[in-house]
Amino acid sequence: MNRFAFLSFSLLASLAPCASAAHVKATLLVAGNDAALRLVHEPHWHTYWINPGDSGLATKIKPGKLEFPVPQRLVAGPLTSFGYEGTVLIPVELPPGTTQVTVNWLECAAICIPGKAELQARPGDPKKLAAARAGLPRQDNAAALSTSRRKDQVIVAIAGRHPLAEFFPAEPGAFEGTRGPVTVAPDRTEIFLSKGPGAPDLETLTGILIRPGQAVVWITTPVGTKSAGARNLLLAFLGGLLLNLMPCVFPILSIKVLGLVSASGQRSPHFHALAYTLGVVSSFLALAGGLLVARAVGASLGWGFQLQSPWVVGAMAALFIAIGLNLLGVFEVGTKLMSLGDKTGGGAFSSGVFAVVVAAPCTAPFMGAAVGWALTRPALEALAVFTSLGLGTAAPYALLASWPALLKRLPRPGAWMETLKRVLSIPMFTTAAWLIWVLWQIVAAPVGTDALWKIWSPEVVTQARASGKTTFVDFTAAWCLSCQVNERVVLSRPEIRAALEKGAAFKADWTDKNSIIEAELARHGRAGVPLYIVYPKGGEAVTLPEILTPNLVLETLGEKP
Amino acid sequence: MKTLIAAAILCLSALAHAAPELGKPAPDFTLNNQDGKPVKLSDARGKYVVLEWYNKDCPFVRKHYGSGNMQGLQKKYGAKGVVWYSIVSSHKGGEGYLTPAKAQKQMKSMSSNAILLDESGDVGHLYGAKTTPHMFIIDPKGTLIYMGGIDNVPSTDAADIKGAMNFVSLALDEAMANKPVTTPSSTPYGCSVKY
Repeated sequence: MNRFAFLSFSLLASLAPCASAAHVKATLLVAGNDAALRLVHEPHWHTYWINPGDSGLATKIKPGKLEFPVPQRLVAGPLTSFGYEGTVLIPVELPPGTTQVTVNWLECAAICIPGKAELQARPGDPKKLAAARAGLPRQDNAAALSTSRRKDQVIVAIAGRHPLAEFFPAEPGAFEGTRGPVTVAPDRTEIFLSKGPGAPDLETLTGILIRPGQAVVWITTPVGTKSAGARNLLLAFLGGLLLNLMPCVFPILSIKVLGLVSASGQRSPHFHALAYTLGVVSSFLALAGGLLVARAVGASLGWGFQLQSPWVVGAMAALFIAIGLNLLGVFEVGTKLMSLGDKTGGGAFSSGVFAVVVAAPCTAPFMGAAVGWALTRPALEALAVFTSLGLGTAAPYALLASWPALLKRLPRPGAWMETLKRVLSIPMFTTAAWLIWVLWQIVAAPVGTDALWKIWSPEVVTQARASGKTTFVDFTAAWCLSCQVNERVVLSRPEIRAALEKGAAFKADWTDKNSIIEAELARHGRAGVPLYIVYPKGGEAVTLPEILTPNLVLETLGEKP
Repeated sequence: MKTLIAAAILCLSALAHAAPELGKPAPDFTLNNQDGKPVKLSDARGKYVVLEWYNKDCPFVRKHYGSGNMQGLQKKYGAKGVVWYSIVSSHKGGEGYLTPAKAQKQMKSMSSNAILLDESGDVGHLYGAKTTPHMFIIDPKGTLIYMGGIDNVPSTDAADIKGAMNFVSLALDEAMANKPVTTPSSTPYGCSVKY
C-alpha cells in the first residue's frame, strides 16, 4: 500500500471511529492493454453496482471507466441493493499510460463505511483479466421484444419461456430494487419493474437482462406506450375470430348461416351483415361500458360474471334446451325466435347481441388477459379493444353475408336443413348439459379440496412463502371450462402432484363471487379466471399462461421436465 | 369477518408497496420523542414539517452533520416556523439505534425539534423510507410536497456539499413563496435504513 492510500485510510478511520478497519481490499491489475479493479470483500461486506438499488453508492474510478459485471441482488429486509460480495474483478478502461488511479467506494455490511484508495497498477494475470472482460454482458437490444409502460410499472417482454428471468435497471432510483414479478407464456416472458416512488417516467430503459441458460446481455430500449396498444387491438380481433369456434358461439353461427340461406334473395346481404356486426359490436361496447362504469364506482367485475348467478345459469340452460328442442322440431316458434329467415335487419342485430351474450363464458378463458388489460387502461383505449373484439367476432358472418359469391356456394335450402337442424341440436344440448353441470357446481358443490390443495387466502400464501416453500396458487371456478381442463389434464398428473407436494399448493375458488379473490386477480391485472401463480423459493410471483402444459408447470416449479 | 380480512389485506399491501404519494395527505403517525413523550404528526398541521430519516453512525448522515450543513438547515427553517423531526427507524441494537437517554444526548448536537424513535420501523415502512438521510416535506395543509434525497450529489464527502443543489431548501423556499415545487422528488441516497 502506498503512503497516500495509507494516509487516506487513516483519514477515513478518524471519520468513522466505530469501524476503523477497511473491509474491502482494492487492487488495480494491468496486463498489456487490459486492466481490472479487483475488490476483495470480507465476509458479509459488499460494494455497489452502477445502480446501487434502494441504498448505497456505486464504486467510482478516476481516471478511467469501470465496466461492471453482473451484480447480485443483496436483500436486507424490505430493501434491496445491487452489488458484489466475495472477490470481484471489474474490467477498467484506462487512458493509455495510466499507472495510478483513485478509487472511491462504499462498503456496507449491517453498517456502511466509505472507502477510498490511491492505487498503483500492479501486474495481473492476462488470462484472468481477459476472462473477466469476456464475461461482461454484451449489448443486445434485440433481446427485448418490447418495453411498455402500464401505470407505475414498466414491462420488458422477451422471447421464450424464462420463469426465472431477471432485469437489473441501470438508472439509479428509477425502479424498486426488489425482483419484479414475471409472467410466462410458452413463447414469451414479461418482466415487471415497479417504478420507484416519485421517480420520473423513463423514455429509455437500460439494464442487464438475465435469462437462465442464455447469455447475459445489456439492453437499451425505448419505453413504448403505443405499440402494445396496436398489438392488443390485433389480439382482440383474433380473439374475436376465435370466439366463433367456441361451443357457445359456433351453434349460433351455424344458425345464422341457416338464416342466411333462407334470407338470401329477399334482402340485401350487406344489410344483414352490417346489422349483425352492429349487434355484436354494440353488445361488446355495452358490456365494456358496463365494466367501465362498474370500475368507476369502485367495483371490479369479471367477464364471466353472467354465469356467477345460479338464476342466469338456470335460465341459460333452459334457453338452450328450448333451442335444442326447437331444432329437433318438437315445437315451432312462429315468431322466429332465432330470427331464422328474418327479413328485417332487426333480427340480424338481435342475433348479434345474442351471440355475444352466449359467448361470455367462453371469453373468460381466452380473453381474460385482454379484458384485464383493457380494464386497467383509460376508457377510450378499453372501448377500442372491445370494438376490435366485436369486429373479430362478427367478421366471419359479415364476410359470408357480404360475399354473394360465397353465399351461392352454400347449399340450397331443402330437406337437408331439417337434418342439419337436428345435428345442430346436439351442441345445444351439450351446452345445456354443461350449464346444468355448472349450475349444480354453483348450487351444490364447493370446489373439492384434497390433501394436496389447501384453501387459498393471502395469509397462508405469505406464510408458505416465508417458510421458504415453492408456492403454487390456482385461481379457478366451476364454470370456467379451461380451469377444469387444466386441472384435469395437467395439474392432476402424478409428476406434477409430486412436484407440488414438495412445496405448497393453494386453490382459490371463484365459483361464487368473492371480493378477496377478485382483489387478488385485479392485483395481477386480471378480471377473471383462470390465473396460475407460482412463487419460486424466495422469488417473486411468476404468472403462468391460461392454457397450461405439463412441461411449463414443471419447469416453473423448478423441476426438470 | 370479510371486511376484517379485506382490511388486513389492505394493510399488508400498504406495507408491501409503502409509498406515500406527492400531492396527497401525508400519512399520520404518533411516535415517542427523546423524552418519551408522544408526538403526533398532524398536531403540527398549519406548519411546514420536515421528516428526516436519521442514523448518527451512517457516513452519509455524518457528512451533513459533521459539516454543520443539516443543523444549519434546521436552524434556518426552524426560525421560519418549520417543524423538523429526525426519525430513527433502526431496530434495537442496529446501527444508529438510540435509547431515549442516548437520543437526549444526541439532541445536543442537533437543531431539529425532536428525535422520534421508531424502533419497530412502522413509520419508516409507512413512508417507504429507504436511506439515511431520506427527506420528506409536508405543507401546512398536511400534503406531501417533497420526498427524496437531501441534495443532488450522492457521496459521503463533505466537500461535495458546497456545489450541490439542496432539494430540501429549494422546495421549502419555493413552497413558502407560493411557487410550485420544481423538484418534488429525487432519488434518496445514503445508508439503508436499518429495519
